Amino acid sequence: MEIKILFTGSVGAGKSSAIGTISEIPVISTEAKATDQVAAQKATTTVAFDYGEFSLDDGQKIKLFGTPGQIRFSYMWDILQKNALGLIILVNNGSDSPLDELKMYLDYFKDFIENTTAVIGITHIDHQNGLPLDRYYQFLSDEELVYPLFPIDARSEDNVKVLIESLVAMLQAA
Amino acid sequence: MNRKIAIQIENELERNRFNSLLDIIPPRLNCTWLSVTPEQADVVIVDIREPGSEYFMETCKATTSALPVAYGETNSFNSQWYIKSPVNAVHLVSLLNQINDFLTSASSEPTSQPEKEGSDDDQAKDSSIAIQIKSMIEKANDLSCFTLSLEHTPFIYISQEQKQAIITNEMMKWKTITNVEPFKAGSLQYNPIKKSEYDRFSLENDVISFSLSELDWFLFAFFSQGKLHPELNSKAIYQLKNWPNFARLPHTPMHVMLCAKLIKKPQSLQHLINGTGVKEQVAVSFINACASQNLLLSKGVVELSEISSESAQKKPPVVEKIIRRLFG
Repeated sequence: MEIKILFTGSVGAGKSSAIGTISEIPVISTEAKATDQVAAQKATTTVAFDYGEFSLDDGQKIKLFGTPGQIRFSYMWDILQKNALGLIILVNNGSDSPLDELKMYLDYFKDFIENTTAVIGITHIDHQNGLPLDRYYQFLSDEELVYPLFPIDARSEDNVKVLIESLVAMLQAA
Repeated sequence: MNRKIAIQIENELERNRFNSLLDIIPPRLNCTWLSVTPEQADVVIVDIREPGSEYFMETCKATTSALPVAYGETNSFNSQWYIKSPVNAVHLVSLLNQINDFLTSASSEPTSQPEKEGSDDDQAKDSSIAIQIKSMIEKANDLSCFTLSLEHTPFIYISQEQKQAIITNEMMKWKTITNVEPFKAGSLQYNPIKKSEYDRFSLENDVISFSLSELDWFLFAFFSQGKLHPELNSKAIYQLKNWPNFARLPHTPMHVMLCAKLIKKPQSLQHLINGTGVKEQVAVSFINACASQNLLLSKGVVELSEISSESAQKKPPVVEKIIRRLFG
């Protein structure tokens, strides 16, 4: 059986970094030179997917897929979400409208999340123009959503493990 | 009768040896032994050759939560319970049967409860260590820096000026792995120290710093001693408003599981215990810790007849394996 966890989220939120943090293999990336407005944030961007994996004690592989951040590649989101165990949404708190971005991902993956679960990681929480964490909690409360939400550093193995740990706990509690 | 055993051994080969033996020896045991995490265990096998194991053995001795068994080439800690490395089936069967006899006889002995006098001192002793420490911090607000010691061992350094507390990483590691509450009540002291001493300790040791609010979580999550905070009601139905910030707050996999349960559905403490299979002490500490962060919503009071006999749900195997792989 294929076990897959999907990472999605805004451009520059750290999806590739998060997968690389816990993957046992070098991450397979499909990076291309950024030529649009993304070029102002970073030199390259994911255009198809990132892939990493780790193994369970019995040798079974957990596959970690990361989507492209840009909505123009959303056809890949549809492909990658098939048969995934759950969704980890990373939001770049330094982006122009992080709450709108979070809402967009929650709306886009609504059907998938209702059948599985989701966990939200807020990166760049200390960004000078970023929102305080309470705004995110308020947003979830207003939307009557109870997904785990944490400020994280996508380069921290412990932080990424907290995301997976809570994703698994939500699946258990379902 | 079912007994619960945890294997606290980092070495994969040694750990697998124990697990394999536990799979094949049941016909020779006089009770059923289930493998669980240390938080749930009656018995924990500890590899005493690993760093920090002495501290862990001491913390186990100071509590009745789990019986520690030293595992190594020699019984260098003079532990009451010891098994020689490398473990074999004969020794393991003998040990587990002896422990089962011991636990059975211990539980059948009549316990004598000291009569309660009801004095202020007694009430203070009845408070959890978490509440005692909170009270000391509040009373000590004119001191700029101080340590809190239990059993004469300083374990929290506090700077009121910086609104910050520091704890050694070594202690945090064992606390978050084991959830064993290490000290007996009634021996708490505080000692004023100079700021330079606080700064030096912070620089020279591997420490974790907390805000005083985060310290509240730490205290209630790990030092509640199974005592529900007096302002909380054991019959109340609670729900979590949102997840604690586990990227910062020390926690165990049990806390994450309890969060998931309590955020999805309002429930009483007893429902939470029944639904997750965690020990009452762990669930009580978790509720206290959530309350300390103002994360609980009260949703009324449960009637006794409403408490179902819902048992812990069987986890899907894949989920169980992911937890084991990531978090040991």
